[in-house]
Amino acid sequence: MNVKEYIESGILEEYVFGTLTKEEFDQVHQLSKQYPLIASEIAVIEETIIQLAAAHATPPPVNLLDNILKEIKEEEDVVNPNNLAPKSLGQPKTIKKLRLYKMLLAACFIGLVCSLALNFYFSNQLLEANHKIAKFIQEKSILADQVQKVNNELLLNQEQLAYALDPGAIPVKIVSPDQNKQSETLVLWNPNKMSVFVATDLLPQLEEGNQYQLWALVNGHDAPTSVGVFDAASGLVQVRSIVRADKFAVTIEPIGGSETPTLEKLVLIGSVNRT
Amino acid sequence: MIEKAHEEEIVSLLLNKDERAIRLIYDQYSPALYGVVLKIVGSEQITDDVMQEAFTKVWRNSTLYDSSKGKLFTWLLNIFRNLAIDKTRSKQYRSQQIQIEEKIVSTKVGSHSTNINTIGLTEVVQKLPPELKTLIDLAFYKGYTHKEIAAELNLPLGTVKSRIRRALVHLRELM
Repeated sequence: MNVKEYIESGILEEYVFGTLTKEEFDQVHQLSKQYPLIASEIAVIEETIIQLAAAHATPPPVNLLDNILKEIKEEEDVVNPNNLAPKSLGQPKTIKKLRLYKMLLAACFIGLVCSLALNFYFSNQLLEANHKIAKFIQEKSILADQVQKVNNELLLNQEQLAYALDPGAIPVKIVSPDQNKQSETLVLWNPNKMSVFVATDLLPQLEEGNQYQLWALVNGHDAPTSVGVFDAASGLVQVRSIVRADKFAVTIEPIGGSETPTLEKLVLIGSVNRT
Repeated sequence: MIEKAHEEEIVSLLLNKDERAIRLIYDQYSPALYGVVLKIVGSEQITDDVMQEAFTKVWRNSTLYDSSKGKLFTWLLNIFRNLAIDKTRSKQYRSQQIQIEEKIVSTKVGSHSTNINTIGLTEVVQKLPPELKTLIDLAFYKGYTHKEIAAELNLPLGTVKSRIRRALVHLRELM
């Protein structure tokens, strides 16, 4: 920075005259600490101003000092009303007041602590209650799901029962062609409604990758018709609908079933008895 | 004008809100401050008011004085000057001035009086070149900022700044 130019700019005069903005004033003040030349120039300007002021010094009127002191005294009393009271009385009063303030402060503090503790307690309670509510809602939704499931099962059972009790339904007992084996089950066929059900609960579980497949055989036709696949132990299963059948047979096929039955794996067979 | 040791003593009393500071300030500086205020407001009655107000303000703000930012007298002078200048800009002051002027006209003594700017000018200031004297008047007694002076006198700001500086340097030499 060019200190000489800065001094010549006249900003220091403004600094001394007090006409700078706060920012400008602070800036000059900072620089005066940094540059002794600026500080000394400010001192010179101040000295000039002091002399200029002294040059037309005028003695003030005699009572001015008393008036000023009176005004300052009044100012003090307004700022600090305790000064109005005699000192001997003022002191114990002040101590009493101080004690009262201390007690009030202590009471406030205790109140605050209690309030904080209660806040903590209630907030915990609230949190716990919220957890419980969340749990109840979850349980309720599980229960609702279960009710829905049971309802669905009930509807299905009623539907199946309706089929079974339908006068047009023909129960077809299918048994193992091997006389040594005891396995048997029931196919429920309703020619009027063409629906076919098969009872699966009595059948043994198959190895992984295999499924039972139900076939319908019509006398005079060589190729049996697939009525669908099913697994063991899944209740009364509705399979594909068919119009005609004289016999029903079950084979074991790979998952998804086959187009033609694997005769070596024929496990059950039975004739439709229309009488 | 004032010994440094004395100033430090006054400052330390002032910062401690000791009432004796006001007495000492009064003893040391009130003639100079009174002279400046009187020159600015031009009426002894208003000067008394300004003096009281200014001393109260000094008392109220006593702890704000920072000796690193300037001499005590400079700080005091700016408080007194600013209050005096504020007075001249107040409505009350203006209406009083009009009354005074009317009085002067009615008593027919107005022909050679009441130009405030020339009352009590010291010989030293009188010796300044006129254009510098005007600048000192505006800056010192009217509290104009350099910008305001530039606008008032229709001069570039840089010229105003350097002229005020020249005026003060000139004064110093004359004193």
